[in-house]
Amino acid sequence: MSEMTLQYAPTEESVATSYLDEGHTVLSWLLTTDHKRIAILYALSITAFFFIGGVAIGLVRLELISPTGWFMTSDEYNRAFTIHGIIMVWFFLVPSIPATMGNFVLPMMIGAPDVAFPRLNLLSWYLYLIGASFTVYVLLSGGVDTGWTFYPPFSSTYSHSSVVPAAIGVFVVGFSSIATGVNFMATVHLLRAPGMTWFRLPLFAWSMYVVSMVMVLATPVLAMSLLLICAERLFGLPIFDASVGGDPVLFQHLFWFYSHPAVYIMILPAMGVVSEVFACFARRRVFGYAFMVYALLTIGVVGFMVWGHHMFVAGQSPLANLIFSFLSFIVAVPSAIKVFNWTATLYRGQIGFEAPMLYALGFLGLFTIGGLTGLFLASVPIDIAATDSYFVVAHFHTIMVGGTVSAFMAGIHYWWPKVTGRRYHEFAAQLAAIAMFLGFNLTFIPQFIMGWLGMPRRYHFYPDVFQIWHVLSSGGAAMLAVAYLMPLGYLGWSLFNGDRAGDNPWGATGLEWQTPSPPPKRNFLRPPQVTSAPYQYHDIGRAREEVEQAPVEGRGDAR
Amino acid sequence: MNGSSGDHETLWRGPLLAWSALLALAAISLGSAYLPLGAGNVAVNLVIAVVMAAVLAIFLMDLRNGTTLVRIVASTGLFWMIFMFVLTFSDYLSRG
Repeated sequence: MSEMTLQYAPTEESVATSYLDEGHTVLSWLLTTDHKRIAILYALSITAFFFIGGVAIGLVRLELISPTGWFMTSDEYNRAFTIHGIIMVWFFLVPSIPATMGNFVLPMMIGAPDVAFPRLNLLSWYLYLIGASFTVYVLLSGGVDTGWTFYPPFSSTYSHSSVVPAAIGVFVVGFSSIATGVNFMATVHLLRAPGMTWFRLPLFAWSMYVVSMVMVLATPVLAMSLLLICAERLFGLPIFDASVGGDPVLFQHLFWFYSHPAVYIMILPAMGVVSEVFACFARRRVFGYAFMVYALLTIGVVGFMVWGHHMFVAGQSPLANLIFSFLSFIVAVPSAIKVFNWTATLYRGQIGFEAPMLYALGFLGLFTIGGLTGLFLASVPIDIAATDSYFVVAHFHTIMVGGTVSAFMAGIHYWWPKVTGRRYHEFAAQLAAIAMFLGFNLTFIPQFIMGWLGMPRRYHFYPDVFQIWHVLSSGGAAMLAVAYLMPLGYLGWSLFNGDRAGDNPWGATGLEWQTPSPPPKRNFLRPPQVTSAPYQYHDIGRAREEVEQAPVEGRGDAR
Repeated sequence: MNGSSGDHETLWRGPLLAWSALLALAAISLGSAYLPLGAGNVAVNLVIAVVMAAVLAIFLMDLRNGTTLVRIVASTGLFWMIFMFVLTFSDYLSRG
């Protein structure tokens, strides 16, 4: 353990410079092993890919305004929605919260000066970049048309697009996920501050721990299944080709063994973020903390056993359909526990409607809708009717975008003062949060409706009767685009012109708030000592805002 | 680790031997595919796969020297593989 000796910043204020001032050259960033700087590198990278993926789906939504298509061929349409899916899933959603907020906040939350393996952390970002380079190559070479799921035999035999480079890009970025997962697990196990027992961990730290397990256990299976696709496509190995004894459904088993837990890789961190935000902005202890922890663990484990609900119409046996349907209903239970506990946390709280809270409330509503519509799809007869319809598209976007992106934005706004030391323009942020919620619903409620009426996904020619829903949905997408672009403006402005935030502008109790903003390189000026459970907001209440800068008692002793 | 050349040799020898063993087992697996063993081919390849997994876990992952916690974490991989196989076979073994 000698390699993991805790080293904190010196106690002299004069040398406790911010991590942002630890070097201003490009090399000082590219070679950094500081978890906070790596988080910034990740944030910049995934933001770039978020907007590339956004442009792709913007084109798709424009195309769908007309029922006969108007500027894309069918092949171009296939490539546009495929690149949107690949980029958004693997280059934005999967790394979004863990690689940015997890990297920045997790070590501080548990009282550590860095992650357990700082160089592995930097390597994970470079792996992300290498995988991303393959994806950029795919874009420049005309794209890939298999859908983000790479189903054979189309991907292995028939497609003439850049399947192998796309698969290699995803394969490589998977190792970035694994590296982050290993690092976070070791960090939580080994680098907790004195007094930070397991049941004093903030729920965001728990969510990072659970999601790390899922990333480490699931991602290798994705890597294996994509390699098999490449082997079949490049060398003709008969693995999934039914004409020579292979089984295409086997790919779906392997792919969804990763890709359903991948939904939890996206949503578990989001659950962690909103748990922090609800407690802080309702000035309440999280209701049922222990149950929240057990629910995270249960989702992490049971989430691995439900993948077959993606295959109810793929030729899977009726017995397997029954088993996977039952297990899919089971996994809704811990999710429901969390929704009820968040609601109970808000009950009789001193609620403030600052932007992080608005985003978190948006998460709560959208995650509930996404979860309940998931129950529809867990039911075999309903799923058979709704498979490959816009109902499915709306369902998973409600979880992955309505849920995860709302929480991502909540976290960005919540920790922005800590990351930058600056305040953002609160009213502009509140407007963006409201615009995102309205834009999201305008985009996807029409998709739920037209999907239920029978509109299939992945077609750009469709009956006229669906046009009104597509036009509404495209209008919502435009509103969403504005809501996503607004933070670039006011957050960018705040970097240079925002008011100084102070160390703890929200009066939050987490250890990460008991250190300067922006934090010093080793996070704390001296080793923190944890003396109580998290979320002791009852004692502080909202009145604390009026006695500005009163010390936050009981949660740590870092300064 | 004090960085002496002897230590470095010790550090590399085990993984190199394990890697060599894995390559040899891969070659045997490939070669066995050309033997007309019928259903025996599957059995031979499954045995080779189990030996390869054991070499990986014991020598490359160094679980023989791992702490209890590390062994527990590693063993979760085995449990998860069981989940995968059991539920996948709930499909394959019950198809009409």
